[in-house]
Amino acid sequence: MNMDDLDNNLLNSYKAFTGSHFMLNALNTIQSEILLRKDSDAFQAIQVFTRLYKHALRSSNDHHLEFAEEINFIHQYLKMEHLRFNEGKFPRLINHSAVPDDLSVPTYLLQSFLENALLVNRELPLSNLTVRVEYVRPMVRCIMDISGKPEHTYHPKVQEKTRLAEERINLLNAVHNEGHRLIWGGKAFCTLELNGIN
Amino acid sequence: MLRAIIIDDEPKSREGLEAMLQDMIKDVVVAATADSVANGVRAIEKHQPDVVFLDIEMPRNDGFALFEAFNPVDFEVVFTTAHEQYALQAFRTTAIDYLLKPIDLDQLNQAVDKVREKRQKDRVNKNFEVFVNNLKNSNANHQIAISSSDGLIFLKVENIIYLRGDGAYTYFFLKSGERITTSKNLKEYEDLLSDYDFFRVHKSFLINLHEMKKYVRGEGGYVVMSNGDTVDVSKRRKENFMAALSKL
Repeated sequence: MNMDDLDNNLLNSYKAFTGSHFMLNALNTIQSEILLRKDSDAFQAIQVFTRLYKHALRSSNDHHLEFAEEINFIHQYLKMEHLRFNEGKFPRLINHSAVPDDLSVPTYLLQSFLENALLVNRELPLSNLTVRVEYVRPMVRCIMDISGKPEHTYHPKVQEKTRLAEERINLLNAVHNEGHRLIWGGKAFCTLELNGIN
Repeated sequence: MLRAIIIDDEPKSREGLEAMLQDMIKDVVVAATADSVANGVRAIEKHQPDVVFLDIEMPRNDGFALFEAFNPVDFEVVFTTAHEQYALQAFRTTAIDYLLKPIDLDQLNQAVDKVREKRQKDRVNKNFEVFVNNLKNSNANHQIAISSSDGLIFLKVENIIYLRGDGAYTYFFLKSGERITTSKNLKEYEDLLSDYDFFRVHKSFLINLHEMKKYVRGEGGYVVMSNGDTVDVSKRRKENFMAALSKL
């Protein structure tokens, strides 16, 4: 494992996001809003899509990003999913404001595991997904909890992408000794511990 | 008018495609929309659509599961998805087209045209099947078209007493006393009328077995037809002729 492997993984993670069904589905949502003449919804969807795309362009070369920017990306991502499905089953982010804004964390990791959790949650009747962020210096702990579903599940739609994110954790730890951790199961569905860098 | 059903778990996607089909594509009516394969199956059973626009990645059952519910699939399927990687799998089914989201209006038009053509072709085939079945099942009311010098003449099979071949020409002898000449050889009519109790008793004669009055034995013998005409039975066809008579 070396820097080239890490760079390749980042490139693949970037491609997995920008080239994925997510972007096309987001554009499809915008097209639908226009067809249905819901101008303000279409405008909102374009705004969110643009923010997501700009973030993707900005972070394509960076292994790390400030947590504030990463969490903003997650907010926009969830907003777009909410615009797409217009359902009540979307998670709230709890406590993320406790994390210092200038703390840097690896890019694309939280989004990958969150997307997997969202998809698993959607298929379970009456389940509820919460994402709680805890900060115990220097660790940022993102706890994704699906009620009644603590065990480890890769959703088939994003299995490859989730595994790519897992590989990235291993690479960051092996190449830079960063000490990130992923915990499947236990009390939550999935817990991602990111070692923040000042 | 094509009847369409949209199956997609995303409400916006369903509504958007419905608006495109209703407002921008000619002669398509969206009979129903469904948010899952299970609800889609119910909608198809109720509305009997011409075409189903089917998303692939949906919670619980993916779009391919729809094919397990119908055998044969008597509607066309157009896949609509944001996932290019399913194209090959999609075309292994009986799907007529595969549209990548966001849906391109030109491609949607082309897909609908394909559906229209296929349905038209299927209808012609079905009509032909009905026609052939009529041929087989209803001697009494069946008509055949024969070409004459000035067009087509439609004859009820039951009104034909016998046909006489003369080289490239065939003469029809009818109950009405008429005689019609056509420029096709007797063999062609033998094939056409073989399922209607017509029998080739001689190289020059094809007779309607229901219009025989009498068979007179002889080496081959001869038949007296209902209009009084006599028709020779050739020696080599006699045995098969007798077998045909025994089946009447």
